[in-house]
Amino acid sequence: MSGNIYFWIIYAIIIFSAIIALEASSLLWAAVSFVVLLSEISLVYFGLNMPVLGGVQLAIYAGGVTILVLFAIMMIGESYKKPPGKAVRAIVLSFSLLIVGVILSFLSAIDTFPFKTYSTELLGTVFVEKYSFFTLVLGFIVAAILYMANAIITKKREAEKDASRS
Amino acid sequence: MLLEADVHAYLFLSFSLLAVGVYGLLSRKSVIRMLFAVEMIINAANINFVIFSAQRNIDGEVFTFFTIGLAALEAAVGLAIVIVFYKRFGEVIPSKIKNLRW
Repeated sequence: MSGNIYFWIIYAIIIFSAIIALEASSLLWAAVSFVVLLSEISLVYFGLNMPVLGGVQLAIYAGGVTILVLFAIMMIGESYKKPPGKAVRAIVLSFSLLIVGVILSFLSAIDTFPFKTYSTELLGTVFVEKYSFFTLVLGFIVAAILYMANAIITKKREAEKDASRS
Repeated sequence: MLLEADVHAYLFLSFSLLAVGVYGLLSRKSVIRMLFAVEMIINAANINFVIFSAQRNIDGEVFTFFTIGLAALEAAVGLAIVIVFYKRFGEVIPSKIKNLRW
């Protein structure tokens, strides 16, 4: 398990921001930490010579999903209360998952090949020739996301109308 | 390449993110934080796809595009449910969400 200093810095930022996203008392700061987490994951993709995937991660995850989350937080407010006591069972389960996963990765992925670099042209060719049907489905998914965002806005307007009536 | 690491280091990153996500999913009582945890688990799976794609063939990278799209859809639907539930009941507590009937 070897990596250079940049990898381990990014690893530390990812895990730290993931923990902050779950533990911060303010939901807004949790959302900010979530953006940092997603942006660092896109840095991992850029570092693996996959710029298109990194860009998509930045645009859809760090852009779109985060805006939706922020919008939801602004609508429902900070109704979060920290649960009493420590979640010992969850910590034990997650640590055991980590240990089992690392052992399994050492057992199964023993053959380490050098990393390849794929061109954007090859990516587009594979998309069109091999996964064209799924690409169409992906288009519908994007349309559904836009429709759902519209539904959320409509719900906010209805809530404002209800508030003004009462 | 800027990030020089072997496959085991990337898998360690992926499993660490999965562990944090599982911890958040099991221990948090806020629906939005549970959504964060689900997104972390999906991102851990994406890193697995990408790292094996970088070693073998391009199909894993293509699958990651679809996964990102589906995860965005899941977040949008989950947040819409949260907002509708909040509008209806005034609070969003997962243990109280037993059904969504009229």
